[in-house]
Amino acid sequence: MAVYTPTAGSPLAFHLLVDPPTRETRQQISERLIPGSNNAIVDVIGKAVTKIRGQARFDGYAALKTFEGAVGTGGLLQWTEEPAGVAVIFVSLERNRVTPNDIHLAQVEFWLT
Amino acid sequence: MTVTVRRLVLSATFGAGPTTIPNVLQARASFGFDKRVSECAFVTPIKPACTYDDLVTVTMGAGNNIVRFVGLVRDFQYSDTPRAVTTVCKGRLVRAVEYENGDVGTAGPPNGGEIGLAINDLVGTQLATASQIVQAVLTRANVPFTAANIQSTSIQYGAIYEAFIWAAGVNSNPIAAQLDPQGAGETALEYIERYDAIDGTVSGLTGGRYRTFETIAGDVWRFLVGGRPRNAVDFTLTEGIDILDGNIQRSISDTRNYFVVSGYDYGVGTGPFRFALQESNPFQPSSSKHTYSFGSPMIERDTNASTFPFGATGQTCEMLCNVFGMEYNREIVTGWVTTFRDDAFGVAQTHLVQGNVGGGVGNLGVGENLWVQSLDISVDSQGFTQRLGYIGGGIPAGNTGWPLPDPPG
Repeated sequence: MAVYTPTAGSPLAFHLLVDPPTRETRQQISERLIPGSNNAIVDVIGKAVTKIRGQARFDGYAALKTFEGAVGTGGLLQWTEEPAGVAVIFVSLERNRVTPNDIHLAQVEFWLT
Repeated sequence: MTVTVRRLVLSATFGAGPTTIPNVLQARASFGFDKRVSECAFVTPIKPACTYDDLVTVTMGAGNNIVRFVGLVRDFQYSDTPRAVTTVCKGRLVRAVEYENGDVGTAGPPNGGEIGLAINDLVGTQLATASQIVQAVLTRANVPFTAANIQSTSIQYGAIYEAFIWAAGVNSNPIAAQLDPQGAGETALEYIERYDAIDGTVSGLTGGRYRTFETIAGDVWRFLVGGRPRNAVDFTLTEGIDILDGNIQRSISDTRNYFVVSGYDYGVGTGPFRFALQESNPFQPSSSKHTYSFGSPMIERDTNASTFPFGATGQTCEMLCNVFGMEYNREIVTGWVTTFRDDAFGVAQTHLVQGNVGGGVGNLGVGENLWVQSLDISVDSQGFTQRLGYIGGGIPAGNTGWPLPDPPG
């Protein structure tokens, strides 16, 4: 069970299946090669960003649409690894399966802020 | 392969506190001894808390994290998708651009005409050096400076005082005043540039004209920049080591071998003071004319030996012919390079730009000392970059280096 609470919004419950347990941390890097040399300059730009991607399960079409409305907001994400919650941006939601029992499975992505 | 990893620093503050401006995404600062007033534009996601005329300090680096710009907020530029605000700041010399003289002194012309402030109104004496005059003008325009940084020749200007009037935009002639009762006053920088155009000297292979500009630390300098670079090298940039990209042009398109300078005209029918200098170079023999002409009523004599009309004061047409000869009687080298280096580069420095270690000529066609004419410092998604604009030139042979004083840092 997971809960996403948009800033100044109500808690929204869903099931976050971290399978595969994708957690990507990426640093913006600029690599410049110096023409005619065997050297490179690597500039580290800004801070690294951690992205959490996983499967989300929504118990009904209405719940899915509620979450679609929360895409693009910042908020607090709580799940088993982070029971106290972490500040995130809800970046994307892509539904890819619906069961006969009105269970909706979707790919979700959050960026830690 | 050698990989140099650097962590960038970009920060900005404003006010006396100072107050930090958060989340600066990118910045670019520009300087030049022909650009005069430095400029910096930095981007933030939302409008920073600073406002017009706040003093902003920008620090940039990739290890050598130093102040790269000091100036005043002038513009806010808003953009959408993605939302961002670009804050444009100008160096404090911008106050000289914005200050228009509206004052009329006590030394107005007796027969009417354009009036304003004479040198006597500015410094208290009829004759003064360009350094004294420029300092007085900067003070009126509320531009901070250090007196020792405002340099000049020792020439005393002002014997023909009406040629040096800082125009107030009003006219004492009643007929002219009816036609143009309230014209614009001459700005402080326009008045200073009139001196920069003529305040020059040549002695042997040393000389040039003085330029007024700003350093990366925000200091205003008036400094001698000659036609050819100095012998002393401040920094060396080498292809394949620290030059990322570049473009250099060698040209004789603007090379000249004949110089005509005219000065003040008394209006008695003999024309203005005048001097012509014939020189030569390997492409333009002395039997040909490739003319560069210049004129200013602030030039008060024709030859260096002349004492007419008011003694040996003021600039001469002959001296400026020699100054222009140094600047234009040569192969002219211009261009730019970009580098990742975060050294404290600055305008009016002399850099050795070379193809390989030892001064060899490389793909860019240079292996020689060049003046830094302009400087752009940027931090963005590409990293930390400095773009250096250069000017130089080497012929006639033997005039390749001038022992001028150290440049401002």
